[in-house]
Formats: sequence, C-alpha cells, structure tokens
Amino acid sequence: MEVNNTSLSSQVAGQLSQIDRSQQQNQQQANAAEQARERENSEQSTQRVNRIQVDENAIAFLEREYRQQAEPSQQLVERDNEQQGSEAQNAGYDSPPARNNSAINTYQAVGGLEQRDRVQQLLGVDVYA
Amino acid sequence: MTTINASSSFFQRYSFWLLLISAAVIREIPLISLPFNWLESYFHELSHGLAALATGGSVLSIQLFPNGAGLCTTQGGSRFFISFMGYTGAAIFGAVLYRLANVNLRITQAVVALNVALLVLSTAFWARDLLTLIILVVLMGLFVAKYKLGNSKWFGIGLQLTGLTVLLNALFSPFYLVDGRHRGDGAALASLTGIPEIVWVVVWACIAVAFIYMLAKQDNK
Repeated sequence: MEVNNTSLSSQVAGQLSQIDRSQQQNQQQANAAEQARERENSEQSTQRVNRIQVDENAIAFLEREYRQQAEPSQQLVERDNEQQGSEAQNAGYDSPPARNNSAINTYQAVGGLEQRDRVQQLLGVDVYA
Repeated sequence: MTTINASSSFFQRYSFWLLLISAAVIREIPLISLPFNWLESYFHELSHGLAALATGGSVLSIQLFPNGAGLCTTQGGSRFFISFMGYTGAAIFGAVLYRLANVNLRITQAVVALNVALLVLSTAFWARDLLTLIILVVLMGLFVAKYKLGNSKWFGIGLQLTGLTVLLNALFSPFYLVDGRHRGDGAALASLTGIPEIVWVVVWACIAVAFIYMLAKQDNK
C-alpha cells in the first residue's frame, strides 16, 4: 500500500492551523473576559471608595458633636484637678498640727466629694458625713 | 479592812470622774481608741438615719471607714433635723449608755442586747460594702464580749466607760469641722440656716458638755 505523504502532511498542517486559531480565539475571549472583570472590579472599588468618603463625613460630624458634648465635663474635671492641686499646695504650707491629722484623714477617705455632690443632685439623695 | 473600804468608797464617790479620765486616756491610745471611734461614728450615722426616718425620709446606706469617718445616705426627710442629729445623737447615745449601765445588771444586759440588735439590723438593712460590714461585726463582737463578762462588776464599768468614750468623742469630733473647708454637717446647717458653721460646732460641744455635767451631777447624788 502506498501512502501519499504530501497530501497527509498538508491535511495535518491544515488541522494544526485550525487548532492554533481556535486556541488564539479562546485566549482572546479569556483576555477579554479578564479585562471586563478587572474593569468591573475597579468600578466597584471606586464605588466603595465613594461610600467610605460619605461615611468619613458622617464620622467627622459625629466626632464634632461628641467633642462639643464632652467639653463641659472635661472642663469640670480640669477645674477639680486645679482645686485639688491648690489644696495640696496649701496643705504643704500649713503643715497641720497632729490634732487635725485625723480630720484630714477623714476628709481624704471621703474622696471625690464634689463628684458625690453632683450625683446627689442627680439622684435626689443626701449624704451626711 | 479600813483601807479597802476607804478605797472602794473613794472609787464610788469619784467613779464618774475616774471613768471620764480613763475614757480621755483611751481616746489618745492609737489602736485601743479605734473601736471606740468606730462606735461613735456608728452612733453618729445611725442618728442621721433615725432622724431621716423620723421626718418621713428613708435611709439608703450607712458607710463606716477604718479611720473613724462615716457616711449616711438618705432620701427625703428634714435636712435640718437630719444634719443636726449626727453629733447630737452620738452624745445622746453615749450619755444613755453610761446612765443605763449604772442602774442594775438586768438593764445593763438589756442595753447590750439592744445595741447588738441595732447593729444586726443596721448590717442587714444599711451596710452595703465589705468594710462597713467588717466594722459592724467587730462592734457586735465587742458588745458580745462585754456580755460574756456576765454579772461581774466589770460588765457595768466596761459599758460605762464605752458610753463616756462615745460622749467624749461626740464632744471633740465637731471641732474637726473647723478646718475652713466648709464641709460636713456644720456646713450643711450653715447653708440651710445662714448661721455660721462655728456656731453649730459650739452648740454641739455645749450639748455634749451639758450631758457630761448632768451625768456628773446624778452620780454625786
């Protein structure tokens, strides 16, 4: 049996070229799909960024509000600290006699009397020492 | 024999003054004076509480501190009466304790039982923290220990001494308010009435001195 080599080789070459073309097409489609996906992702991320920007504004607003509310109480605490500091200085200068030491101890034990006063007024209770 | 009779009659004659001097000495001894300070503080806060109850208020809590300080938290009632009764009440409790311990054994026992009952009730209804609880239990222990002395003469003498120590504490405690800080019962009364704090301190001291004078006079009869 005689086999025609030239016709076989041309057939194989034609089939191979067809396979190459279909592979190229597949790759192109995959690339296109990938590009489309990337475009979609970038769009989504820009949308997300936009949403975060809106939230940041809201957070900034809330922070401003919170700071405004917290300022008076902070001022009170600072005033208390200043008063305590000046009292401590006075105590240093006076150096109380031994007889008054127990009175001072008593008052030190009953600490935070000013805060206690505020709570007292809030709750309607009276504290007697 | 004559010497023993003479010494016992001397003690009987001057028992009040001897006990008063002993109470004054006890007040100055650091650790020994502590439970007596707690007792005075307890009677002081209890008086605030009873005054609140008597004027339609309620007692929320009683707090006692190891250094002899105390707090009574109330709601409602007459603020003037409640503020005034702290030191006055402590002086009354001291005087009554001394006076009743001087009558007879039965009454002395009843007084001790009443004090224990008061402490138990205070613990149950008004003690809200561990420190107060411990102090109240120690005070209960002291009264129970006195009770254990039974019918010996030291039972009465011990209670009399306790009464006088409380009375002396009630006499000197108001002077701790004179510190220029405008805090405490004197300051509360001053803001309620417009009468300076020092006047209230003097009033409380006079009440305690009046009780001491009355007890001394009764003992000399």
